[in-house]
Amino acid sequence: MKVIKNCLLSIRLVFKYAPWNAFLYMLGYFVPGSFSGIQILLVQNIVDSGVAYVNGVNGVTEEVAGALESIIVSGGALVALLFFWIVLQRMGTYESKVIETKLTKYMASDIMEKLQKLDYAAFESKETQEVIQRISQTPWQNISRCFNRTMLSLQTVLSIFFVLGVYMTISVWIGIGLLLIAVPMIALNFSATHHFHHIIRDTTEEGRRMKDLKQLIRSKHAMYETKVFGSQALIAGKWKEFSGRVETEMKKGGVKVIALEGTGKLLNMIYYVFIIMTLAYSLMHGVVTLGQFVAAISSIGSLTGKVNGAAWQATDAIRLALDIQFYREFQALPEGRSIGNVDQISHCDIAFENVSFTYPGTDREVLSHVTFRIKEGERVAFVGENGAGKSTMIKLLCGLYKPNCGRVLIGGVDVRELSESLRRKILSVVFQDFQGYELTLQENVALGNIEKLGEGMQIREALKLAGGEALYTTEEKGLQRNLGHLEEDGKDLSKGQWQRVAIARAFLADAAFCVLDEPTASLDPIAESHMYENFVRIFHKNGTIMISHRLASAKMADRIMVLDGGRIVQNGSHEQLMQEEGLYRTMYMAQSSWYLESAVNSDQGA
Amino acid sequence: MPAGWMRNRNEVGSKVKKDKEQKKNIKMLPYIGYCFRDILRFTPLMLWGKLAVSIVEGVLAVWQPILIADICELALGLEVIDKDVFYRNIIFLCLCIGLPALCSIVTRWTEIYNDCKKESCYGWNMFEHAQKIRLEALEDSEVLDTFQKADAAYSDQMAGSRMLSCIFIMIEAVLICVSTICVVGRFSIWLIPGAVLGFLPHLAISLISEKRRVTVYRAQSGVRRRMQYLWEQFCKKESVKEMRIMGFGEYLKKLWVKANVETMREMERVELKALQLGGLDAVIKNTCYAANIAIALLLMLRGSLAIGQFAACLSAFAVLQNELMKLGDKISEFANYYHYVEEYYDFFRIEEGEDGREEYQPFQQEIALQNVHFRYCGSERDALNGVELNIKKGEHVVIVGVNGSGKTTLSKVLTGAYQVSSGTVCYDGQNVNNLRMAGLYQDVSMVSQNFVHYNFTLRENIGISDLKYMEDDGRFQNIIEVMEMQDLVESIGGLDSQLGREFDGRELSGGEWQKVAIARGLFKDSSLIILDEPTSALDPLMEYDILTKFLELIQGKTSVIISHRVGICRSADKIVVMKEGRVVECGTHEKLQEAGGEYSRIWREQAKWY
Repeated sequence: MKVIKNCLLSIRLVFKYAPWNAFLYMLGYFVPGSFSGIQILLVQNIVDSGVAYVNGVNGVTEEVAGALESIIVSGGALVALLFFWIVLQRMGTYESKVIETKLTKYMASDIMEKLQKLDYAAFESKETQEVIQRISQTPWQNISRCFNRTMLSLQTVLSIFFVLGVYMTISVWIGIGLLLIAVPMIALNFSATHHFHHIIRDTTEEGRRMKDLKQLIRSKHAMYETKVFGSQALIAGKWKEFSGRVETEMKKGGVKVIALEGTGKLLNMIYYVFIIMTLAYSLMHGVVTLGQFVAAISSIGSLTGKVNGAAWQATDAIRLALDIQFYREFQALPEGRSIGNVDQISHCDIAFENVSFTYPGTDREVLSHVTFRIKEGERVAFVGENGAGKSTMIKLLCGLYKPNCGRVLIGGVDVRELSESLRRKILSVVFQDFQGYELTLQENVALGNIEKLGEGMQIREALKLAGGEALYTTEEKGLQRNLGHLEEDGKDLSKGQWQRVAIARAFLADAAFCVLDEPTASLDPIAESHMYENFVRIFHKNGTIMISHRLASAKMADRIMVLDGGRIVQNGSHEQLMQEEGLYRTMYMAQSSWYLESAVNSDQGA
Repeated sequence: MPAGWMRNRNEVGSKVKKDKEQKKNIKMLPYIGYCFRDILRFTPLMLWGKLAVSIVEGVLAVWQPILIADICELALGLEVIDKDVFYRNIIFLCLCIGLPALCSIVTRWTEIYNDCKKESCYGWNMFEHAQKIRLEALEDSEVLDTFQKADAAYSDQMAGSRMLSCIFIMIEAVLICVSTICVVGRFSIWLIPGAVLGFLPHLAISLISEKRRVTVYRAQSGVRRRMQYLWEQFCKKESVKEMRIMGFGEYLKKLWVKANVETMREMERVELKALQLGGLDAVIKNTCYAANIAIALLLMLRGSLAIGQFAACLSAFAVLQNELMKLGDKISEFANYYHYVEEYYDFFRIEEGEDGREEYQPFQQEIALQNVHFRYCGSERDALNGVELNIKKGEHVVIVGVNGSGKTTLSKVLTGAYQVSSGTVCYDGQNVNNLRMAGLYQDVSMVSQNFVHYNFTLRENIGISDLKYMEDDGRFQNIIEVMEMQDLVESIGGLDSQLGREFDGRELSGGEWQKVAIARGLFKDSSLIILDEPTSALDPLMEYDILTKFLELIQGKTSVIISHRVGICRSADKIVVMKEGRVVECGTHEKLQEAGGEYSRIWREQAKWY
């Protein structure tokens, strides 16, 4: 059922995006489907008329003339038939390419639209991971492939029926024989193909293992480690083991496949012999004409080719149809992206009111009953151990997720009701896993505020403030230099350099609040301290929300909130918190002890 | 300041690139040669099987029209028929039509046989070579690209064997065409021109249109990669997050649409051209076909061609048409697979690293670096620029410095993983360049900045550093105790439990992985251990915990610690301050603080925040 539904889906989709091409494609494939049948009839006619002509040369002239005319008409028809055959087939191939380009053009846009409307949770959730992964790899190709396969199988079945019909006119026995043989042959081939896919799927555990190992030998870090540890033998041994297992598995399966297919082929051969013998016998007894004999013999090859092909194509069509199930699942994903329309608020205060949150599909409460308020222009730092819920809070603040209970408000309005442009004016975020895009440097910075794409001066200024001046001054092409490896002259940046680009984006956005989600992890100490100084200087007019487990940054905030286990356990300025007995002080002492001269030797006991 | 050791193109990469440029001039023969060599080595049976099939099929295809001619002749003279001859011919015909079915079983078998051998032969080949590649080469994205392509070439495309099939089928098709033309020619010379005329233009047109298609597709590969890259951004959670917050989705979409429209327009153009050429081809071929039938008819009517021969001609023309179609298809397939074959064998052009010959004697005195220079090829400046350094046995050395000052490069040169451009690295006077690396590495352990998360068992994850102790449970027990990992071991269900979500094992947190990495470094029985900035992803409490623990555990070993956090320096015997590829200061914490140079500057910068 699912298979048929998905085949229909692919047909429907192709007809939706390229109706005319799909029509021509079908024309190009289905019309020639009947040709092989007609060809047999024509050949038969030519030969018989030829015989009649040769035999009749000395006899009645009218008969001879009739035979000649029939030969010429049939010959002409045969040539025309082959001509159309080739032309239509070419057209079909061409149309299938055009269908693919049309799908890339139109269907891809629709998919992209849908992607943009999806609830953000879909991208992070484990259940939908596979679907998204599939979507990220040219999904329209799977659709067009499924369409092609479905059409081809139908066409083959159709032409088999045509040929069968023609055979019936020559000899009922051959027709019946074909019917008898076709069913078990298709069944055998089908199960062989099915089995073959199955042995490949059976080895996927090993396949994934091998992929994992390949990842290792491709990584310079792993190669360095295994070289120094002298453990290359272990990795190589594992590879041998898994590939050996795959080999034996496949061999075992392969024998079965060959046995199944071999039986099919044997039946096939028996059928050939049967046809030839029947025809020869009938020819001897004058039941079939010479023309019928020749025509039938020369079409045997293509006929059984079709029977074989039908099974293969049908299995493939089924596989592809099951394969595009992901598209169905994708279409079913909820479009929960909130697009609010409030574009005026009286003030920019941020407030969390009794917010609790659990990631969908998990049962650990990441935030529980968090309540706080941040005034416009305030500098706040959130600190806490890994997994305390800091980053989750930022996602909620940005409206990427909806809290299970409680409300996240900006200026008294739920963030998910704010319009995109307004929210952008209020919040800019540098995420922990900030991205470097393989575009030009200028574009990369301007992504923070795409309206300023043309403002070279401001972009330079932003980069300068983020400490990334060298990125454009040392390069010939300046801001237009390509980053990443997509372009020939592109260069990748180091993690630290990308970080500067990411921070420049935030500067360019110039929002009321700048959120920095732990962006300094891979900076060296001096760069880190400059960065902090810059934060304070640049954002002196704006509010900042800093998330960090490096407490130095926290110290510069007006107010520090300490998160632990999804709750805010401490709230106050650095001085206040240092006076309290609590998590903050413990953490701070741990970090600063490295630098306090009095602590020399007391910790290490060296 | 650009980090010198990161991602610079180096020699090996540019070599690959240069090769690629030159390749256009090189004939395709060497690649086909490699391909045959490997097939002969791995799956000779397949080669012979395919060869046999090709020969049998070729012979039978030519025999069939001749048989049909004979049978027809016999059938026409039914009254005076020699039944034995007739039935003998019928049996031959049965063979002629039946054998190809058996041949296809052989073909299928060769395919499956090859599939079975794929990973254990072609995959292993790559695997072996990959392990020998110089470490520096893996810094280069070009090399990684080559790697990826080669991988896809053999595992997805099975390029070698498929190209071989194409070659065989092509040769077979050409032979059949030629011999069919000969057979027809034997009936009457007049039939030859038409057949040849249909054959040659078709070949030429197929080649031209395929070449054009390949050129355009290759020229587009850059734009296509960009399209795919942009598309992926819409599916990647990190990018989607930023896209939504910063609102640049529309912009990326615009870029994508632009690239898309451009490539699609070009493709449609190429396909249309191919269609036109194909149409022309069809016209020529059919005209010839029609001419041939007309000539045959004429000859028959004039009596110079027997009716049986005429029937045989019809059958032969059909064979010819069929083979021509096949030939056209196979030419384009061949071009496609040949491309993958190139990609596979290009991988083996990446240089292998060299190994020294001398046996390593464990060092007793010191490791000495003299005037060491190192440059990543393709980079304009030295990553290490005249480093002088002595490390005495048993010393704890900390290397500090800003990003890109060459700390990690120094550590890799120290272990001989990277070969110095000039200068020497000596362990008690033994130059690492001359040493057999495996010997040296028995004495070196490390915790790398980018330690690897192996999706193996916990035992393997720790024991991988020293395979000879893999079964030594006491040693594991010991390391687990000192690292205080008992809880971790218990929670995942013992030493032999699988790690990593990918294989249904448990995924460890960052801190837990860190502990595993340190346990791994310490597990190895070595006298030198290198610790490269392992704590950047940890929160302060854990960082503090792990570093103190580490310092405790390396007593008795020589250690080199690389860190951004100068705080750790107080416990070091020697602090080495790196700047722009040089050692600018060297000494103890107190001494360097007094000196008031680079070290004290870094220290102040960091300490002032606390």
